[in-house]
Amino acid sequence: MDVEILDRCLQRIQTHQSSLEECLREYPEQAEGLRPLLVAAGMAQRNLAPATPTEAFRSSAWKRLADHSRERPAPRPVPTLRQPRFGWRPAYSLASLLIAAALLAGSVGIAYASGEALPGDSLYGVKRGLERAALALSANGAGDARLLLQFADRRLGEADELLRRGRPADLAQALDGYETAIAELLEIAAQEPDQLDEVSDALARHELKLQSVIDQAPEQAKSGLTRALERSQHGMDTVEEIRDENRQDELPPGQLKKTPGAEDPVDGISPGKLKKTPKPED
Amino acid sequence: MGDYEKPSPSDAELIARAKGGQVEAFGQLYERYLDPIYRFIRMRVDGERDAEDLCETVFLRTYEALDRYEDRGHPFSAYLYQVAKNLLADHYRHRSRMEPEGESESAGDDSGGDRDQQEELLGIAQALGQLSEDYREVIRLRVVLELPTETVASWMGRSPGAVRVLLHRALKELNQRLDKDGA
Repeated sequence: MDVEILDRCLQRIQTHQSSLEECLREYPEQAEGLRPLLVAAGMAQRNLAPATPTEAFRSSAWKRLADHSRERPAPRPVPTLRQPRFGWRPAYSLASLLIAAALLAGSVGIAYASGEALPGDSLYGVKRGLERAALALSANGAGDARLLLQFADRRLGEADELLRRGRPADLAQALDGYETAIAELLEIAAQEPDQLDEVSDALARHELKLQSVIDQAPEQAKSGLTRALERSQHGMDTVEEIRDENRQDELPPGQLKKTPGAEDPVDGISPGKLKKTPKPED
Repeated sequence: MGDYEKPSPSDAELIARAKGGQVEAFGQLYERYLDPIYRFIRMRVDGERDAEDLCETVFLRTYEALDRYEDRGHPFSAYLYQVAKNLLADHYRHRSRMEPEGESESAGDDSGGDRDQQEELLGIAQALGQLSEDYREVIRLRVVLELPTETVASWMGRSPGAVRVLLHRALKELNQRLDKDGA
């Protein structure tokens, strides 16, 4: 049976444009298969359709919500740290061309080969381009966070490797990449409280790593590494601020996923924040 | 000043104004989406009071999180739906600590009705309860709540075509279950 016809018939019945029988007459060759499905749909709708909210609830809930919103300052815009995901970034233009070329040539070898590339290597742009592509394909904030954590780790690994190979001149690209990944990660963490612990652990790890690298780094590399260290420490502060804000609000922000161990959010709203609908006494 | 009818502001405009502190703009979003969100919740919980509390919390939380809301190309209603789903999941978790039974479909009208009606209601609720969650969800949204396919697609994170296919399979299985149970 054509699924489009089923959907069309359902739509017409729901909007009272046709009756079930009229729909079946219109599609006689499909009628035998359509009828039982439309009948089942009708039964489900007839028996399970919930009521609309009462007028009393509609107005009282809005009043409470409006009162509550006036008690607190207006939502403040969060500075956007993130570059548009699909925005044009010249640094990756060559990478895009190479990726496209690799795909067109039916060769994925170039993509694999780029995995070990360091800043300054010819395939480094491909590596970063593939990372942005993976990020673009990620389905949700948690997936973004996981990828960005990997990228931040990778950037520090690259910095370490560059120093080991005596290439401090290429360090800036890796450290810039690290700072970008952390900035994006923090933005996502603000919306995904579930990720805060993981982000915090990673930042603590980065701090230790950077401190150990700075001690052994040549003078010319120290300022960049120190800035990355400060970024990492600032990130830790930001994570704590987000946690504090969540604790104060007793509400998880952003995508509103529950933080592990948190109280049930329905009961977790402080009475001063929202007067719940009065329940009759048992 | 002559009266003229202004076009309704888009969700994006209202969100921007609400972010800027205009509570009334959020009020328009509330009016726009209260019914589908309330009805979606009401269908999934037993009591009207619980549905009201959960629904109110959906809008409160959304307002609280509005400064962090990002338009990622999905309708605002899909965001509200996700908040509602998260709250329902918490609601069931909380309830399951006290009651071992799982989620049940809540009947649209659970009072009155003759015996045949009650049997039909029981039959459809039982048959629906035997379906996979995806099948149940598409039937709830597209059939019971009568939401347009495009809305269901955005709420469920699928393409409209995929929703049509899912709906076809879901209704086919529902029908088989109804036949089997003699409803």
